[in-house]
Amino acid sequence: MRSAPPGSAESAADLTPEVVIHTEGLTKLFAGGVRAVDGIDLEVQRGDVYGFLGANGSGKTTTVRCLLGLVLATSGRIEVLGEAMPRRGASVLPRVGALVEGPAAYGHLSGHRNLVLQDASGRRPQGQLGGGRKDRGDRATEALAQVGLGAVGSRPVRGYSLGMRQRLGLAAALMRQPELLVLDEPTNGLDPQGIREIRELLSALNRTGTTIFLSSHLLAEVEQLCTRIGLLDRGQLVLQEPLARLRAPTGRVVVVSPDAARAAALLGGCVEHRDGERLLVKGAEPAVLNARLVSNGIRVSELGPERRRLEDIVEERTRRRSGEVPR
Amino acid sequence: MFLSPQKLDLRSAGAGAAVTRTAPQSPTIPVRVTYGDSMGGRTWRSGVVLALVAAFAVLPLIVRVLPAGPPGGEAVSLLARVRGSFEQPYSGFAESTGSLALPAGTDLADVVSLLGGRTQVRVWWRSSRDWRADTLTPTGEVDSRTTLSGSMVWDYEDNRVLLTRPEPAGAVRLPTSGDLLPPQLAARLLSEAAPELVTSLPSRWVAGRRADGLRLTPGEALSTIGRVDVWADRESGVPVAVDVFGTDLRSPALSTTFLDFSDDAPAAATTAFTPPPDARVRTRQRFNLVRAVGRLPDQGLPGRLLGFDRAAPLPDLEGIARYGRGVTQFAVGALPIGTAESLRAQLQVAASARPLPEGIAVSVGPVGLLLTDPAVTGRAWLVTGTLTPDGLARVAAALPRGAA
Amino acid sequence: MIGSSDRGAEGVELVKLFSRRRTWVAILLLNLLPTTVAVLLAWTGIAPRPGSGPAFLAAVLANGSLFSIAALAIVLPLFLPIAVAVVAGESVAGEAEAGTLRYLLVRPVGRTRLLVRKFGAITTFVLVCVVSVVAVGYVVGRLLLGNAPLSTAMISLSGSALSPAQVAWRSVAAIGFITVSMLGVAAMALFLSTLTDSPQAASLGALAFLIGSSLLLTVDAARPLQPYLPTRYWLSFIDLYRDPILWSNLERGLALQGVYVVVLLAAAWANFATRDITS
Repeated sequence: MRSAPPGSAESAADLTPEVVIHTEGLTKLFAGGVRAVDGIDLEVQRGDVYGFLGANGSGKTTTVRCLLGLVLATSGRIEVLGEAMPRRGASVLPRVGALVEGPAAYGHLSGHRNLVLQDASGRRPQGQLGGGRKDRGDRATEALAQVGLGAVGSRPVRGYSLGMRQRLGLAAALMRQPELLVLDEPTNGLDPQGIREIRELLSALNRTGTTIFLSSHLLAEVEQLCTRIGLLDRGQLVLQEPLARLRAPTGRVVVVSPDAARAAALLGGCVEHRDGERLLVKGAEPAVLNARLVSNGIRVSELGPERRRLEDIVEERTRRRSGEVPR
Repeated sequence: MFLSPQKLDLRSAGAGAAVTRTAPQSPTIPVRVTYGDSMGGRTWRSGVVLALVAAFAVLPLIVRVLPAGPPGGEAVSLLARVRGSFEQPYSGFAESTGSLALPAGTDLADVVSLLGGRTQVRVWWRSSRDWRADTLTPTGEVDSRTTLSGSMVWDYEDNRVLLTRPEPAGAVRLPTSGDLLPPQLAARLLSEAAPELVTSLPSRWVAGRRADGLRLTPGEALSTIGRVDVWADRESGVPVAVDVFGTDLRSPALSTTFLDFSDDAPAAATTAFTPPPDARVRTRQRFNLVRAVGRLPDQGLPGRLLGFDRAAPLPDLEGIARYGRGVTQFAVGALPIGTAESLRAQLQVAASARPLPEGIAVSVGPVGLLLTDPAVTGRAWLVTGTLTPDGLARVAAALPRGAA
Repeated sequence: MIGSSDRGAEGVELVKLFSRRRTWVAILLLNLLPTTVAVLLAWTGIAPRPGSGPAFLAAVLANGSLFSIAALAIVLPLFLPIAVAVVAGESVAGEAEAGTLRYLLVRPVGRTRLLVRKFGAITTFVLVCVVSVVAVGYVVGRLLLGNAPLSTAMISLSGSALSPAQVAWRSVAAIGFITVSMLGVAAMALFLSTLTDSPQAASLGALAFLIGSSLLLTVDAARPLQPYLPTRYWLSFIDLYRDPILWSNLERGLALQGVYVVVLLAAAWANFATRDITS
């Protein structure tokens, strides 16, 4: 088990808690009456790494597109960085970096040129949000270096691998040093090494104050990176919770022992459940329990506080709902 | 994917461990706000587009229907104004459309395209002795300039200038594009109009100017012309639009209208012409078919046909007899055998050619043409004029049967 | 890099369009047809029968400079509008297909602004096409078909002489008129391009619109409709070479294109501004 990602809690604490993404009753009906998103109330706070989980087709991408003003909500309210979307898109979006449903670039142009063109196509940047025209080329170079494309930035995108394109998409999102990163499946197509690099990059960005909204169907990715979880199931938000709280120790201790039968006999009523060599013990301090078992000559191969896994939570939430609300 | 070595029992894993905010169970949405950016925006934007389309579609109609003021006066006085406007200078751009298409032949082809298709003509009229008419084609133009000393026809694509002697007044000739200009056509059609046949029409807009209308209903049973509507510019009295109706009174067989019109006198420089240095300059005789007919001696044509009197013969064209009254006019002449056969071959492939017992007939707009069969009438007669096929046949039947 | 990074936001669409090889291939192909005609004319010396070929083609054997205008008449009815329809149909649907549209919109580029920029880029493309055809036609004509001295007067369609200065400004006006004439098709393709995510579908739709219009022009029964057909006044550019110039059809042609552009751009705007971008 890994500990929660470092840094995020501390950096969020210096700032006054500020809601960065807020939706109320966000609903999107597509033609034909398909309710892709159904009454979602999202809340993402500044400094969060928000993991937006859901199976394919659960409405993640539609929600992300609504947040960015690409898809217009049927009803509900959206606020991003404190302003209404999509109405205030012109002032909100320059402060947001986004990667939506895979990267896209002009194949005949180089990666660097793509970044420069994308930057130039928008309104002239204001304030310290990434400078003006003059340093555009420098910022593109910097963004490429950040995602590890420094060496290939001058090659046409046509020849890029899927992973390189993914990195280029990230570079485009990072180029203006946004306050909020909205990333839809950012590690798609990357090799394990690439995934680790991107994870480290995002953690580093988060430490410097960037809020990250990460939509993914990969539990591991979310578990390793995120501080808050939102779980989407068939268009509805079924869970929205800090990851630390979800994975807090349950108060039980897991004991794995080749002498499970003897251990169960010794602990008696404290054993809640036994499954082969594995015991669930309640109401015990792990250290005390360990000492007691060992002193009784019981071999212990594993012992530790029980923590719930994200996979189980996800499974439980989605299964329960599917039982309750048949569609 | 999952690093934890443990496998927990889900049932025992405290269901209430975390306080989570679940989605509303009922499908009701707590906050239901619809924004202008969303569905409502689509509606008003589509409304703007529809309004634009409607505006652009209706605007021309409004301009057309816009009342042009009260009628400009009595039909008879308007008729007099129109007749008096013949020497009035003007310039403009006119379009005429006939409702017929025929395959192209040689001499007849020009006439057919004049009466069968759409012809655009620009005109600068200083007087009947100094005017210019340009017939426009998509790739060039044919300009005719008429002065006292004759006419010059410039054909751009042939790079050729044809000089023609001045034509005698009332000469029989095939129509040219200049004849389709509203003032020319109106002058021809109204020249013998009796005042009792003329009624006034509501005024309308032509080429952005007020025009007063009058209608001529000849009432001749054999005439192809059922009715003629003429609109004359209120300022100058110059006819600016003419609709000629055949026996079908719903749509005009021939319609000619100015699209642009000015009653200012054109500059002399506009009508003047010097042939370009490398152009071929030829002097041309009168139209061949007419000459072919006219140079034959009079074949004993009667002084009166179907109740129409014969007009005085023209010098050099004794072979052609002209009859008529008002808009009902026709000419009769005998053709040399060779000319008749080549013309017959042309007519036989014409789409609207109609075989009659007396020969082969073609109607081009209001103008009918009958080439008789020598086996029936003893001679190849050419009858042409504003007569119905029935009228043409009756003329042919009444012609003298001389030796071939 | 420096060239592109120094451009303002309005030039981005131009950079994108003209950095694409396809754009230059289209311009090249556009010039290939008149060049082929010039080569054949020079080789065989057979001018088309009067009234049968495109405007001015009969006259170019005498004056090679006129081939610049003849080349315009050659590409105007079909080649030029096809190139325009393809490029304009690509404009929004191509971005949607490549996925770059969503990144443009979250950059953010306002949707209306994007349409205006796209239309501006297409207009520039048309202008570049027309100017290139005139320039290539002029060079090819003078090289292959006879290089009469530049001071030679040109004979107008009406048989009068036009001085070189008159010919020059009338040709500039013709370039402008033909450029505007293409904008109706361009606006149609742009509108269709906002309806679909397939650039091919948008281009084909615009071509169908164009071919339908050309066809209706030849049908007598459609005569009441003809003054409103987008291709009705295209060939009227040769009215500039009549003496005096016949402005009437030119004015009608410009007004008609204006109406088409306004209506179709409004339709494109109404659709695109509220459309869900799901590409």
